[in-house]
Amino acid sequence: MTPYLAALVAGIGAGAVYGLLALGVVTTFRGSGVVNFAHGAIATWTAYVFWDLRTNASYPIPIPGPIDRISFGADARMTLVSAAAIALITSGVLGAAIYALVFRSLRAAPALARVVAGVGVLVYVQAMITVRFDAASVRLSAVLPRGIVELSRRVLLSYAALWLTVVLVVVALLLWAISRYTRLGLAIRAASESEKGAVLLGFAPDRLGLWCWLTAGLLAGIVGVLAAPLFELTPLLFTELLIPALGAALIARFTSFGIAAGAGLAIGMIQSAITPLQQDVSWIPRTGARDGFVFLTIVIAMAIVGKRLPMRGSLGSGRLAAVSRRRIRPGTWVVSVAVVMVAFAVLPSNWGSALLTSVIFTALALSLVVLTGFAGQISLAQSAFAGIAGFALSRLTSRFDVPFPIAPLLAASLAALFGILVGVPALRVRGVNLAVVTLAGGIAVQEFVFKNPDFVGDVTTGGARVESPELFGLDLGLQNATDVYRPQFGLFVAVVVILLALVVSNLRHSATGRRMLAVRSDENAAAAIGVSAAGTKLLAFGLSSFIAGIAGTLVAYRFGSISDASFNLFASLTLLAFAYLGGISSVGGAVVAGLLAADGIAFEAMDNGWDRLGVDLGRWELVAGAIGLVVTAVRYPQGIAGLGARSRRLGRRSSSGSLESGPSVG
Amino acid sequence: MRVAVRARIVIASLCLATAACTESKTSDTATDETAAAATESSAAVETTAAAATGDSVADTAAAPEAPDTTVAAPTGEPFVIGVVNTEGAPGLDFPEFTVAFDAAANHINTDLGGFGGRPVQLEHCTAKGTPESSQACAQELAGKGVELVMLGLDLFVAYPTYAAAGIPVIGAVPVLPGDYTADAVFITAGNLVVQGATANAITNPEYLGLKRVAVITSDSPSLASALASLQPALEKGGATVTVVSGGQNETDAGYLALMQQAADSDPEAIVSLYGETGCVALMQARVDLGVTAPVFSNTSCLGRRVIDAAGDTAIGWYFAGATGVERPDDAILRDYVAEAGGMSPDEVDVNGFTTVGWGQLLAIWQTATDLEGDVTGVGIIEAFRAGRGVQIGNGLPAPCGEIEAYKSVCTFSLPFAEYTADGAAPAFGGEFVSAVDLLPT
Repeated sequence: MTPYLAALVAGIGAGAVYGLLALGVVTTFRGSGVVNFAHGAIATWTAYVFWDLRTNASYPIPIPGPIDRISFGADARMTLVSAAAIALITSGVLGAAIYALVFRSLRAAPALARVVAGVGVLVYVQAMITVRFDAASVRLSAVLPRGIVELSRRVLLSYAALWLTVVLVVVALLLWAISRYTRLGLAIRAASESEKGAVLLGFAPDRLGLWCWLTAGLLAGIVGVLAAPLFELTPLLFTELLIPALGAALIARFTSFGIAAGAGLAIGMIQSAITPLQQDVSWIPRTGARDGFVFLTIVIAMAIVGKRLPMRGSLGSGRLAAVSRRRIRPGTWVVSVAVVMVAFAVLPSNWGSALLTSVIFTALALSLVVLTGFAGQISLAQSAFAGIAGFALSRLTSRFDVPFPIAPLLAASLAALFGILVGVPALRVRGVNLAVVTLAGGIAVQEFVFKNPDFVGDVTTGGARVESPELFGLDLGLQNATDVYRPQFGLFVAVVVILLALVVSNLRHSATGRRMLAVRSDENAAAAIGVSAAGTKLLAFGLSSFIAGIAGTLVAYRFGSISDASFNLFASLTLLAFAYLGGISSVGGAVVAGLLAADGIAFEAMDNGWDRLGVDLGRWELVAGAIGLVVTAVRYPQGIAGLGARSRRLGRRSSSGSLESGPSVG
Repeated sequence: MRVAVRARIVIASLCLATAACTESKTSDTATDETAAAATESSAAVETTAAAATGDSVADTAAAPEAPDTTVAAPTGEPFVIGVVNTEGAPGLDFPEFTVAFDAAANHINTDLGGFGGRPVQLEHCTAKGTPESSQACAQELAGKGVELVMLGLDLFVAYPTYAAAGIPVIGAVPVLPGDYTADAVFITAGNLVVQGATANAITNPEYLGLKRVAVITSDSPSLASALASLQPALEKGGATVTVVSGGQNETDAGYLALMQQAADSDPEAIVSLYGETGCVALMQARVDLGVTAPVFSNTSCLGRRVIDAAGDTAIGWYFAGATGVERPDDAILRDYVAEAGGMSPDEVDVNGFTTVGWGQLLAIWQTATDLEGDVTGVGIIEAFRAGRGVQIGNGLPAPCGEIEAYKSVCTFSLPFAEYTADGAAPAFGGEFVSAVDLLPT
């Protein structure tokens, strides 16, 4: 028993970090209804600021521009207290600024817009960390006392973990007391349940939101300053640690500070105890169990208690992007097909690779058009579905010799099955809560399946390998023994994705599509006219996952072998963000998303363009992309494709004097 | 059993033959130190040979280098080398290679006359520790028509792509089993050799002769591969092995628990597979828990940042692949790496992968310089395969393909450093420890 007790106690430090991060997430949610995916990144930025102040006596600027940092002098030395104070002020101001500049105007926006804006902020902060600190990993000198408390001969607790736990308990009690006994806290609680009610009582939700983001920023700063020295500080450190913290916040239903703190602590301790458990229990997976266990539990719990998750009563209804009724003309299809085919045949390999990326990303975005654009469901597990199919394809082709095209179809069907399973909680939770539940489901799949050698093959022999597709003796693979780039593969991919686009386009005009739109518009109204909301949602999840699965098989065919990194949480977040940027409710939007995808055609063009001008945009590219994402989420919820449609409508209105409006549902 | 490859360090290949024709860009101090150096390549080679018969790392470390001011500046079409290195992935971030390659390329262009009189140009591609990113890099570099590809650390090298494009591959560190028989050349020791040599140093009575070993690792793919090499080697050496596995991001308390669980098996020696991230915390944990068993790690744990943070808690640790002595050519390395990395020469870490990257490109350059006729990527790799290449750090001929089962590997033994109260010092009398006897058959 002692090894388990020792392990549980050893997990207290990590648990306290999760708890503190979870308190920040709960605070922003209570104040603004936003799940702040950038909370960990703010903690990381603060930690780097603290390090820069202590090490170089300089202050990094979080805004793009020619001045990267303010130096306090070559020989200056910053005391620990001064550096910590400046770092904490920075994190508080950063939190407040993010709310004021981004989320304040999204208070009445659809949950999806807030999720996408959150992703944009996350990418922005991470990109600024890369730009300002050169992606360096650093070791901070300890802030909390070092040493260990010997609870028994074998059970040891570090002072740092003890202090962090004390901080966690004090902060949780403080937040609870403020929430329970102060006028400000009561107003925030009121607004979190009903903004309308709060306004009627004379409170300004904007100001309440600002306070909450300021507080959450400070909490992130506390984590950054106190906890970063316990780890090696890397650009993604607290963003990675935010994942279990999100689990803790979810268990707390984004409302209870006490439960969030306790759940965070418990997750850290349980994760630590899994290490000795792996030695004693042979069937526990050697990899992925630490995180996978936690998130699997969360998904199951949410499927059971989901209806009790709170929905914020906001002033606006938040309309999703309109879905166009316009059919794509056959001529447009023919021209599109011809252009892509010719492009693959004539472009040099670097442009061809970029086009491949764009076309495959289009397929992934199409999966979100069905699920989010048509059915109104948010999923942060799309990449996991793609990964399921990719890994299944590897197994089917390399172990069972299942031929093409049966193998990819079977693999995508398996992805559809997983999609339906992950979609089950969607019957009970909605909006941003569904986003977090699917996120948890995606991570559970990633940890338990994608990291398990029994499912994905032995990484020491190159991971999950995939045989090239071959049809009637015709090799459709990207490369062979003498050629590293074969246009045949591009043509094959283009045909598959165009077929998927046709399916999605026709779905919009079918009875199934109309049922999806009805559910997206109003579940109760849809039920009143005989539409099964549950069946429609699960169908949407299944179809969407199938499309994502097909895209996953294309990714696998392209690279010849795959790993979990292509299908992780950040891949899902990026996919959702770019699909939204392109326009999440239309095939055209998916195409635009594909063009804009990282390493896609637009990136290649930009790289070449800047190179010709002698400009190395380098890491600023990501910063610019993040700003574009946030601006689009805030200003143009229809996405770039929607902008084009809107311009056409305005043009027609000015010429005819009448307004033709698409069926805007949401 | 024991292959006591007598320390044959340094002066070596890097600057050696280099020595023959170098217009030094080093500081005054460095130039003074090397003032008496030989000025012709033949002399340099002799020096190498002398180094090879030295008794220890320390004996040979003080050998001089040889600057030369007669070399002509490179001209014409650049000799383009593709570079693939892993950066920015959690637990897999090796920017030292990139900086070292750039620094060595500058050195070659500025002081050494380029590759066959042509300026060397590096085309970088960053892998992310995934098969997909490695494949994407291979396709990108093939598209750019590079002369050869040089790997820093690439977990999933896309050999078929390079083979299809006819691009030879010269790597620094073989990682996965497939690397050892790949159509490539690896001029330093990889996982299999590092772990085999570590197992030999621990279990062989001629070194430490310890038979109860605990291994601390995490569940990342790269460490899983390292463990897959280490555990069988230790068991082949007669050791009983306990494996303790943690997460990729552990707190100090988490590392304390891992060390404690390792200590629970009452080990005579401990091996930490964690990279730089876990070194400081594990060193501290060992001291906090009063563990006296020696701990083996790789050279990244002897990096400047680690030692600055860990201080004397590093005492009792061994570092595979590190010599524990400052080499004469380190002054040149410091200057160029400082310039490439935007730091001061004093900040340059000469113990980590910087030295490997720097030495790798210079070893390739050295081999290219010895070629007859035009310098080509194919010509260079063929020279390595024919035993005409040189090893990093000791200037000896690289025995590539000496063992058929590991035909791409050119190094089968390596030095160890030990951290003492006086700092890093050569372990085992500076002898290179062989992995050969404990490699899987």
